[in-house]
Amino acid sequence: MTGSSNARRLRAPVAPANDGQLGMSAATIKAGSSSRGTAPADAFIRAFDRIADEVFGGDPAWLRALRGGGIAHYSELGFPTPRHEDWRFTNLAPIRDAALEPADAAGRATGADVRAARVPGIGSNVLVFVDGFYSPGLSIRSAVPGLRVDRLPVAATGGDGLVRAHLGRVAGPDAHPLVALKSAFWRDGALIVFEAGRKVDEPVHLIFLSTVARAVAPRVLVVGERGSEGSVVESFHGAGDAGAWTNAVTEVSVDDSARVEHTKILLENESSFHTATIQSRLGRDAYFTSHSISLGGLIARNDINTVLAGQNSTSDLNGLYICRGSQLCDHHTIVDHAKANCASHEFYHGILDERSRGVFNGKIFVRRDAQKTDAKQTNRGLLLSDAALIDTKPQLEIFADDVKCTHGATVGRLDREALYYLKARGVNPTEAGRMLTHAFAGEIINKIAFGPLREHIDRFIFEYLDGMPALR
Amino acid sequence: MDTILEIRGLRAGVEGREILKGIDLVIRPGETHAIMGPNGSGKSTLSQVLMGRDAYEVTGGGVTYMGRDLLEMETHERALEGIFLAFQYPIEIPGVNNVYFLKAAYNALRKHRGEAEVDAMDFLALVKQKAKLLEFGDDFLKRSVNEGFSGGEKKRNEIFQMAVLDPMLAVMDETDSGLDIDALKIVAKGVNALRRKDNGFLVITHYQRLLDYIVPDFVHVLVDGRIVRSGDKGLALELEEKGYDWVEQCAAA
Repeated sequence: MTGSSNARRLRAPVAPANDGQLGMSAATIKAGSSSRGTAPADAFIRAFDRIADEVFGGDPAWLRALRGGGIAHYSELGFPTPRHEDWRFTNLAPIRDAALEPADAAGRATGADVRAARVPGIGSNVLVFVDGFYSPGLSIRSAVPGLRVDRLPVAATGGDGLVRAHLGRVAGPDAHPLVALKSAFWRDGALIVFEAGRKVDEPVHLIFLSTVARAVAPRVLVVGERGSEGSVVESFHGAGDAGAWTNAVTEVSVDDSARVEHTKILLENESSFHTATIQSRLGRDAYFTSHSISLGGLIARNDINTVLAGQNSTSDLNGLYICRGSQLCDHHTIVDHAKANCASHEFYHGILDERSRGVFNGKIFVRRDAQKTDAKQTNRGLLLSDAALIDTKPQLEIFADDVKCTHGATVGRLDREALYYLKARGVNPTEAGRMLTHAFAGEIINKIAFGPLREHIDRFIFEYLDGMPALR
Repeated sequence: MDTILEIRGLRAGVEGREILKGIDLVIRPGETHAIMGPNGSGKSTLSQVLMGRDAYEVTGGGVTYMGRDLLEMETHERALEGIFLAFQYPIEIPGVNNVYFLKAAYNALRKHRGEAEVDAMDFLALVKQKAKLLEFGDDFLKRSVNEGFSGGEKKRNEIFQMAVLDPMLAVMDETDSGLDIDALKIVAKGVNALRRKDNGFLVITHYQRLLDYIVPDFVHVLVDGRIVRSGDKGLALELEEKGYDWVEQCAAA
């Protein structure tokens, strides 16, 4: 496959009805109709048709092929529905039905919006994206030894070999319908490279602000070169109450002996949709840790996948999700132990109030070569109301014989014994509930290595929890 | 106030089973009372009923604390009014820092009395002074409440909290169990430093040994939910010598 024109051939035929309002040209319909697929094309394929030539026409061939492959895989896989095992508990029908148009320009965001999103202690490189588009005026850029930060489309079209070597390779578009869609649609994002043998202390912060009810597909590529060390924070915010759909991919390549920490903070408003994949691949003696702090969004799906592709490596995946109202937060993880002597530790804590729902699905593969694997998975849910619900499912597939794999899931209410103990010291029931809930959240927050970030998250989570209906 | 606590004909139980079958007890300012009894006699039930644990149901009688109906008060109100229960089995609370927790309790108490809350610096100074009394190192202060503490450390932590909160009525539920003799002496020293003319202590224990160090003014023997004998500290020694069989026979007679 060499470009977007070829890609179109793989697309499904366009449904004859209700495409008029999308203003589709006859030529596009024709092109679409020549597809060999069978599923009816949906609004996203049609939207891609409409913008592909104009927006992506200038891309190099390899990138057009990546996009074409994405839309082809998407049309084969189809939009996720609860009939798919991976989407049993998370119905994305509201996203499909909303069929939001791709954002084509940055909306209005202010310095105040950015200030509210900033993390104290991170001031060297703060890249701000508004409705998916990089905003130079709102961003801060500084030269830091050992660190390379670039706009991803600039690096991709400018012939950066690193981008070509990694983009779409860490997170391939073939297994996940939304990753396929994102691979086709992405327009802007960041490339972050920690250069070989260098340690970068201060995290790079990427701020994504949504101001309009549009679909955005930001893309981030992080490369921790051999022996490097660095940290990236991505935070997602809604300015105003527009319900946007953020459909993001972050690829992280952690090369031999490198250490990369990734922290994602989801604070979008409660009418927005968020579907994101964080996919990491580790070499030998490498370390990766992911922290997913997920508070926002009406529907939030976090796919966090890691492949331990070299010996003696460790992936730590941590998550804290807090839901209220009718929010749904889903974490799906896949830990793929491909090589021997690796460890993985997963700790996910959920706090749910009112009618909200949590989903945790943790898949662990231990391949035939991955002897001496040490994999541990823990998912704990704290329900603050009778109507809240958590679906949790471990999936272990083990093909090696000398391994240690443990998993545990618990869902329950606040510990009555502990509440009584606190009350017996004069702490009122509301405050006692807050203390225990904060402690439960703190067990995850405390895993964040960069101190100012940890303290910042601790502070706003504490305030946020105090505002939960059950803890007011 | 000439009476701190007055228990009248108290009957209580759990899950429909009556454990306390009519307890009468009066604690006046400056007094330390010991309650001794065999396992299952209702000692711990009495302490939990006094603290208001909701699993226990009061089926008869009454309790007046500082002139108020104690049984009408919620657990945290009882604590704010000056009752402290040193737990037989202190609860581990992972993620809640010892000092943070104690500061919340201390400031809740001050707020309840209409006093200004103390800041972190002043509180730390107070806490360090009390920690020294219980021979607690700074590392204990930094840890989560009781998490990973040995049995003895947990008991010392209870008395440490008691020292900081300085209660009007302290109820100690088998504080001596699980303590070696050195730890027992440290705990007793901490308790004795808190005894004043205006407060009261209720020391619940299975063994006489603790009462060598925390010398009571009155000793009561609890058997099958009733106080069958009361006396001075000599009763504890007599009980030690003759064993619980002796009082059980007295109770049956």
